[in-house]
Amino acid sequence: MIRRAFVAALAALLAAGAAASVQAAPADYLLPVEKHTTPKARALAVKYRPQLLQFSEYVYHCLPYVEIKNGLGFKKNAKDPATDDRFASLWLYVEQGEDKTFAALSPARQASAIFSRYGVPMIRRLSAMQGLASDTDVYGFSVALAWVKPGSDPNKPTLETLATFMDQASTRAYLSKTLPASDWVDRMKIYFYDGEKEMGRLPLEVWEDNFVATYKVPNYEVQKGIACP
Amino acid sequence: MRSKITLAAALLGVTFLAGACASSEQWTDWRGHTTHFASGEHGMFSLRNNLEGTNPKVTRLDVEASRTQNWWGKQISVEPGQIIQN
Repeated sequence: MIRRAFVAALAALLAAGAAASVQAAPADYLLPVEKHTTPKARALAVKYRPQLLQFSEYVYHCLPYVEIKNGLGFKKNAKDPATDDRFASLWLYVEQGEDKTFAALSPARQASAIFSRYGVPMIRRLSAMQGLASDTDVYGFSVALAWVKPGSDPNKPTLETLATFMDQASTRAYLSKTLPASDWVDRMKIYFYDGEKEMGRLPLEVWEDNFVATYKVPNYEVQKGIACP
Repeated sequence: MRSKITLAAALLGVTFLAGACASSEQWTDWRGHTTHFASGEHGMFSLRNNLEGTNPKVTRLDVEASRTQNWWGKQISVEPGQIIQN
């Protein structure tokens, strides 16, 4: 009798453990400190861990239609290997339904739409991380946005990816409305990928889009104790 | 003959302008529409609504589970290392 109860309890414990291991938590979306490859990057990852975690919690709980990929952390531009300029880096997968109007847009306009809708508010939030503005070890921000290419094979979808790198000074100037969007974009490094194929720099446009601030997923219930400012 | 050419050119022009207007209108419509393409309109939410009736709640764990179930497997995408280095 005792043995049977013990086996049942053990099975329940294992099942709970398996379920827990499947579910990702906000901390899992951070690039571990030890995976940053230089002392400067590791120091930044340690220093800003609370802020990164707070950022990840916001995305996880408040924006369930996007998902952080490839680890939130302090990374460098792979095409600029000679320097160790570190960017507060976010890679975001944007989950979206089929939309004919979106599909009809040119790649540049699709990328502009995604960047304006998701990229700008994410950069605004990254830039608000306490301490970052005066930190000379943080060169800037990097946001990569990926979405399913409209019309691609649903069984093996092609992702389009827009990667941007921007310095802190011009980004903060744009966010405080002292630099026009076009000038901000001119100073960015921009790479666009159609699946695995690099398509080069796109003529990115940026405009106001309050979607992230205003959109509420129907019937979505935020976990108790979590605020979505 | 000349009038036929003029007529053809005029028709072509009208067709082109109509096409341009439609596309510009669509573009304005997309920009102005704030609920167009988030996954809030997506299967997992609407499915629960349809199947379970009145006012079902969707939690973050539901989203997670749905993603796991609907995951496509291999996607065609750029390798992260081509863009960023840790």
